[in-house]
Amino acid sequence: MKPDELYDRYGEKMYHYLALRLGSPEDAEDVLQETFCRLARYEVRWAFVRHPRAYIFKVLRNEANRHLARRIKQRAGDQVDIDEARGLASVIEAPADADAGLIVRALGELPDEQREVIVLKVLQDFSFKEIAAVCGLSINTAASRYRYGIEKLRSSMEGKV
Amino acid sequence: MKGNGDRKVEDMLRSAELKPAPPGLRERVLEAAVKHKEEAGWMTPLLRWCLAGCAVALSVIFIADGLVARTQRDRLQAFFGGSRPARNPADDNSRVLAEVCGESVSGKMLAQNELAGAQKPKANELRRENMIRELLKEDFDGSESTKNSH
Repeated sequence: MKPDELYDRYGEKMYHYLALRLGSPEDAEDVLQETFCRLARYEVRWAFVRHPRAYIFKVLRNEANRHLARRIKQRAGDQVDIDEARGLASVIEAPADADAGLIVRALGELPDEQREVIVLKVLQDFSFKEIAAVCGLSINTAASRYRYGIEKLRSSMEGKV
Repeated sequence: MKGNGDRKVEDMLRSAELKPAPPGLRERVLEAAVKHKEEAGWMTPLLRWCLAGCAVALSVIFIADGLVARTQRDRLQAFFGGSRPARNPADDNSRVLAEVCGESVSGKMLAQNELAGAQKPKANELRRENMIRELLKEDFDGSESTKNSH
């Protein structure tokens, strides 16, 4: 697959995923660029890829993890602050509906692993099998993370409405 | 009720409108990817190191093989007194003789032995004839002496 074709198919979705994952549109742009460089280098492997979308997002996720690891190293700590609210604001338009606004805000408060699965499932239309392949999980784990996340969102909505 | 609530949450999330990527991002990303691809070439760094390692190992093997072969040839030539070893039955005899006698066997002796080996069939025949003659003679002499004693 050529880079321009790749971008037209997945570029925006990749950017949204990164902005939500990293909490910074600037970092998302940098990591997206690095991912495309990596994918251009992996061109030989394309012939063996059966599920291009899962493969691309796995490469993207690895690149995002590498970026986070670099940030942790720079700060000499074992954690990095991710501004979820900023990430959400850079990707999702402010909903007109109050309930939807609550849900989006609650999404930012979910644990990383649950938020990631929900973003991939709902916003990117991935199947659980694809999510499992991208995140290196079993299908059951991916499904249970999704269920717990949705349950938390529902309870937060019910509690506040 | 619970299922309906979950579906409602999913629908709300799905209905969220996503913002487009910043303008110019596509061009920046594609330009960087094409530039990187041109610079990187078809080999990964790991593959490059592997190829270099293989090339070094191969050249070491070839050089070592050449050196060992040359040393062995020199030794053989010194052993056979400068003459090139030939493969024939007489040569095997020479080798055995050299092994038994060690350094005391000179090239000249070995050459003589080889010559003797070449004339072996004839010599063997003569030797056998002589041996039979001697045995017959002994038998004859023995029978004569027993007759005389009686």
